[in-house]
Amino acid sequence: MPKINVDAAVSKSSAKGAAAAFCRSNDGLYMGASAVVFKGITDPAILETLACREAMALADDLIINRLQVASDCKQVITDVKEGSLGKFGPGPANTSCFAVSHQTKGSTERRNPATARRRTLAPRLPVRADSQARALRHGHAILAGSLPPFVRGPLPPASAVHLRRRAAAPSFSAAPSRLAPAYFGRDMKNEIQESVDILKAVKGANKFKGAEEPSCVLKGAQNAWDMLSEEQSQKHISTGSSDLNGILGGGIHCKEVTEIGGVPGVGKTQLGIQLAINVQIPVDYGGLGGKAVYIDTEGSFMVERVYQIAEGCISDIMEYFPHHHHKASSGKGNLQPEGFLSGIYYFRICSYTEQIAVINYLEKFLGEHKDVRIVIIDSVTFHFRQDFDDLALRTRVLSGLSLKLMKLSKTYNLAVVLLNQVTTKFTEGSFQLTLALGDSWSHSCTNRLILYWKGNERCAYLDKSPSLPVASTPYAVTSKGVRDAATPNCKRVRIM
Amino acid sequence: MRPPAAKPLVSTSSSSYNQHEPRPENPLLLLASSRAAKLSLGCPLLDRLLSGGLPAASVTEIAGESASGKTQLCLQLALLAPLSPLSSSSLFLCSDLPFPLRRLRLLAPKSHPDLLDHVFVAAVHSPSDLLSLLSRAQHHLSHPTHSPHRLPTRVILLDSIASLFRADFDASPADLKRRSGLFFKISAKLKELAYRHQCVVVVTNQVVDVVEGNTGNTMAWSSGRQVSPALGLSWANCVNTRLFLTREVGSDGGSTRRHMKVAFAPHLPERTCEFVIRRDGVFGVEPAQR
Repeated sequence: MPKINVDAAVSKSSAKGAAAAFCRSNDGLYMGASAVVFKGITDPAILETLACREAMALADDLIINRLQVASDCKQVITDVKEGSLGKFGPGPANTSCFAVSHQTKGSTERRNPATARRRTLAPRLPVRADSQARALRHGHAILAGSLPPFVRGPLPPASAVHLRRRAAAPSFSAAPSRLAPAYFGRDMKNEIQESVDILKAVKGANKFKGAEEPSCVLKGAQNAWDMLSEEQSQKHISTGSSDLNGILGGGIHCKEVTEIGGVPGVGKTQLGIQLAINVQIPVDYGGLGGKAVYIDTEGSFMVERVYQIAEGCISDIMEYFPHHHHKASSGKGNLQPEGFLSGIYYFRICSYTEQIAVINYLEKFLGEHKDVRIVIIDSVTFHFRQDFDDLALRTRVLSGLSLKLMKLSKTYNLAVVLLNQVTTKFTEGSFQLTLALGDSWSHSCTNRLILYWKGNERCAYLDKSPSLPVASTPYAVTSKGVRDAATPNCKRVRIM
Repeated sequence: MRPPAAKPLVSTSSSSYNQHEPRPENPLLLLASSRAAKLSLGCPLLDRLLSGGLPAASVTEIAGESASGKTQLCLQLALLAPLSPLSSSSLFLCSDLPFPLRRLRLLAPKSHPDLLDHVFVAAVHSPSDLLSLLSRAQHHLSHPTHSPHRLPTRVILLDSIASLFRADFDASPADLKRRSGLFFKISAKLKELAYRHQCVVVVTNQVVDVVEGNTGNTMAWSSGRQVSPALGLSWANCVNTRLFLTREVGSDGGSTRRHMKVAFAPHLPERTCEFVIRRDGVFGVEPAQR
């Protein structure tokens, strides 16, 4: 029956503890070993328990069914024998399935005065002199202490343990070594138990650090319930057309990247400008009351048109909320198109390097201007459609940009709208219209809206959305901006 | 264009632009100047079609069949530029050689014979030629020579973009891709010039026949056939505004009726206006009384 010796050591100066397990067969042949460093654990009793657990893991990997574990810590052994959980929780419970024995430590050399309370017993193995065995163990512990600490929390993840095992085993032997098998299978019981251990330990550690959200286990994580309630209270940015809002689920969502593509002249820029105006609708009138960042790569941002759309938006607000106008709340004042124009931060860029620079700068800008709720880029692929000598660079740059934009939208809780052009692609023997730079770009957005012509009417088609079905609807571009398509039959109520 | 390393390079445009941090502009402050900086067409009806004239910092395309009035309109614009609020000279890039000098002379009003001094003509033979010319123009515009007789160049006319791409390109996919790459490069350069120096850029384009009906705004009826501007969808993505000049032979026997239509524009609704070409230029006419 193979035997695993375990021991633990503490270094109070660097606040680390180590546990080691060493396995030999009945004949004294070396079978495998393992050592772990725990940063932050300095309690010897806990470390001894962890050492026993480590022995279990080693036994798993060496596929040993019957074995002995030898430890020199009486407390742990008595806990295991009695089946009591002690203060170490599930650790000793795992070790209940095999025989345990004590082992003498030998007369000398306490590395740590705290271990003095261990009882010493007679050595079990006649083959090796105890001093040699001890030297091996100590060597393990020293080696373990010198390894870089993989562990950040109080309990090691299983993978770090395996790494350590490989490092520890080969460099060591006076004995002919048979390396531990390289495969690391674990059975389900250990997995679940380990997860429970980790969860409890991390929660405990976070409590000590004083985490702000007691309901979260890891710092920075959110649980799904919080996310759901946040999502439901999220406001949407109206597009000006109630049909279009309908297929988008209320409007453009914050914290998401929406791509809008279409042929020239179908109204992409108009929609972009409309969104830049609509985001500024005050909260009293059902809007977000935020500002807009408009990054213009093509020169389609005509200020007079923006003024016209702002006037149209204000006139619709006045029509829909006539009594608010007379209330004359002191802070708000009258809505003026000039105010809407000033609420747009307009960047004009002329090359793709400038585009990269602006998007990099946005992080700092958005940190300073917290009231920005939408970032519109018109159009995002124009400067990338030139001949690039290095296509891989282009793909890298584009994916870098899209990742940055996604991160910005989540961090600052704003909507990112990317306007894209279309191109013809030769697929299946015919030319089809697809969005420009499609293959390298198409997965970068959360939602995709395609604008197209149906006869003489403009239509919008929701092509990609995480939560909404595909749908299409007509819309119109009027002098006031983007509005519902005029249907001769029914009289529509204009809802902003 | 070689893509540079990770850090953004200093662009070749005018050196006064700060490269360290992008600065946002306030559209409200741009409103007054954008309303003023319009190149009038010389006729109040056509100006009404365009809400004042051709806008600055923007590329306008005039597409039409041959002899539909594109070159005439460009020459007219070149002569109107010094007298307009823009008060600029114009750069005429001609790829449809020879340059119609005689027509220009005829158009020049007798009262201002020195208007021709403010028209600079350059011949362009190929797309790469155009790009190098635009770089030179960029340099020239950034470093203007101050002289009482030289007005700053604020109008750039290119006649026509389609003839630049007639030769050198087959219909193979690789060539088409190369061609559309050049479109974007040329367009980016033109737009950069337009923005940095607040220029009005006008590009003329020819038309091609359309076999199957395209929907929307890409095609029009002219001379009894369906036509669409040349150079396809890629080039259509490169311009800001597209004006379509069409003509049809009237049903009442013989008289040609010409229309200028706004195919798409970010600031204009889709409207049409009828016009005529006279000896002294292109002028709009009121719609004929039925």
